[in-house]
Amino acid sequence: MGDDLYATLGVESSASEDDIRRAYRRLSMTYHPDRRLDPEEQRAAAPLWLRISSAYDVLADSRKRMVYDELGPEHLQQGLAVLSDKVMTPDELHREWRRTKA
Amino acid sequence: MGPVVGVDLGTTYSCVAIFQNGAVEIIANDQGNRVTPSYVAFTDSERLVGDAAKTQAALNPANTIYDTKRLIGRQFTDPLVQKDMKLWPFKVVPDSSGKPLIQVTVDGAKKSLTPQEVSSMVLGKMRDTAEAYLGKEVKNMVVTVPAYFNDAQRQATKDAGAIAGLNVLRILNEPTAAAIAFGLDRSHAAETVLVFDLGGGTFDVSLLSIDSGVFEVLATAGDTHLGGEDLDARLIQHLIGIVKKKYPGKDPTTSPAAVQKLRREAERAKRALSTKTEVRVEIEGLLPGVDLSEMVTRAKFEELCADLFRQTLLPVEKVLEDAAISKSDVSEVVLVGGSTRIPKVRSMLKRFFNGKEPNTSINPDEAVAFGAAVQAGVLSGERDKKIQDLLLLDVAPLTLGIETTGGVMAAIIPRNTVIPTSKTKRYTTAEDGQVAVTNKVFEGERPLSQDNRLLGTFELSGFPAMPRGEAQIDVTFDLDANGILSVSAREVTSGTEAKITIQNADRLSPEDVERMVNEAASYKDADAQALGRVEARVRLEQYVHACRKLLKDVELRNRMLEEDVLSATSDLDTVDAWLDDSGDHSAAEYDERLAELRDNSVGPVFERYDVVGQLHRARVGLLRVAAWRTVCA
Repeated sequence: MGDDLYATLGVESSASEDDIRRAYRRLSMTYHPDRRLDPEEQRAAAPLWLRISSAYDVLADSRKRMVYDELGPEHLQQGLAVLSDKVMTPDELHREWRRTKA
Repeated sequence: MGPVVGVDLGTTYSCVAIFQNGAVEIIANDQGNRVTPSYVAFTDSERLVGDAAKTQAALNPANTIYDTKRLIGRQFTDPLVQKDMKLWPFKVVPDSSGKPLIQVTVDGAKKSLTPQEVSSMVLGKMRDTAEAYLGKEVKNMVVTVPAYFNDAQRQATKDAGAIAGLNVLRILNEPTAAAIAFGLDRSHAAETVLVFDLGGGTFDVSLLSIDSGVFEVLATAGDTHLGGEDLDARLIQHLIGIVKKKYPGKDPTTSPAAVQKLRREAERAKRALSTKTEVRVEIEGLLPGVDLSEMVTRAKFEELCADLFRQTLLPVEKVLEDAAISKSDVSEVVLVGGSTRIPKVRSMLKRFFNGKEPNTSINPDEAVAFGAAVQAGVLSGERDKKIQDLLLLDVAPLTLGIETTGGVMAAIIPRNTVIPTSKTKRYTTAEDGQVAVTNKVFEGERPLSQDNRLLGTFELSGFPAMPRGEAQIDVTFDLDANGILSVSAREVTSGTEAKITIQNADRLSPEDVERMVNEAASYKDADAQALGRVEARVRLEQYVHACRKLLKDVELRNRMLEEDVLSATSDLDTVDAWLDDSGDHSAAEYDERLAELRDNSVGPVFERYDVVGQLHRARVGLLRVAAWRTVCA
């Protein structure tokens, strides 16, 4: 998760949900393995598209995006575990994070 | 790669289509029907698939198989299998590992078939239909499955293709395929579409965003065991109740043929009730001395099925919730599957969506095959402006995870994750010197793994002994574009590939598939034999016919000696009588008779009058197609 997810999708960190979705679809049109007929190209496209879809998976979900923005990519995996179903503010998130880490 | 067709492999009916010359064509079978019953039957002399199998179902109930899609990828002990078995006239037994086998009697011997094998026969039939239409060999297919099919059911469907000798290029989700049929020709701005797919045996709901060629599935949910068959079953139970009440001591369930008749009439009544408010169900001689004549109203039917109808709204609510989309943001509610013709289903949906009329613009029986054909076109690189900018982004229907401490399910790939996907999770050892780790992979949404479905157990071994906590084992879950999982593992510190063995009771081993492919090929031989037999018979019939035609020719008759006419006629009569005699003869026997006629009896007679040339011309009508139709009829 060391990647800059915004850079992967080629959007600003202030991008709106719509911008992110549009970028994802545009990139998918190029990098999705189904868009490549040549088996060689398909193999090459697969990991690229995986990165794109993983980035979208985080940035299109407001809760995951918040964890990524506020705590950093390295906390994305663990950070998710502390999330409850309700949306938390960044402050709540930090508190919750410190509490479970302790 | 040759033509790639799209096949909707349905519980009750299947449909095949191809994208060519910029359009989708639904391919009619040899009976001229655009959908083919997913039926396979065994008679003493041959195997029947499709219309021919369904037509003779009531006469041969124990050897007529259908509903295989309700068995595929399931265990024998599955409560749903146990329940379905009660109404099936064919026999289902468990194999040594608890998988269901269908038992039929062929030539007096018992024969067991896996659901995969039966499905492979239906797929083979769809291939034959396509080949007859295209005049080319078909080796590649896109096959659809319910979106909510699990890993085992998808894998089993793929195996069915392999057994038929086909390459399944993609397992495509049915509602997604239907969405393509709906969205392909719409030049709308971005819209959110809910596909409600209630078929013969399965039910899916998918929520999609369609935007300039990109079909992105946002969420999917469903019930792989809910469909028209369940509605029929309610009606059948109702009718059985009436018979039992009217004729105490009589029980139709004891007679497979009676159940088959009830099934046929219940389906017919259900269909009629979509346009009429009442229908009379009449079966004379249901059992000896038992005639059924009963009026069923639409209101009664709706009452019998009320809970099933209500059940269909739960997945609708679930997809909206999963995708965080409100009812009012749904621009179209698209209906697919024969059961969406039922007025109650439509009115319920309309009420749920606050008065929004469901969209019935696509053909509910053909839309799935249509979409599969489009995806087949895309994947085979068909150059056409209609499909060259089309992309499907589908999702995993079920959460995949592993069991952790205390039997808790840890999600690795959450449901509705876009596929293909790959997730890696790092493990370590809990004890000093530990050289093996065992994990259980589960599928499902419940927090405790015991409530979910076990996909398999895998063991990691082959890494060096290390103090506890030092080994770092990366386990990678790959979910391919078909929604089928594979797992691999690697120990990071030592750089060794950990050996991984997945034991999965639900998957066929490559050896199993191989064996079944060979058996399927033997059916092909049997089918070819049957075809050869029919062709030989047709050759003989044509020859006799041509001779008789010649004998009616006035000019020839005037030239012929009366005794030659009499002997020729008598020889032809003898052969006709032999042909009319019941029972099949071998191709060699037919050919022998033909040679006898041609070389020793009528042939030499005609030779004397120099009309053999005319005889040949008259026989040009002999067509393979004619013989083929006889086989299928």
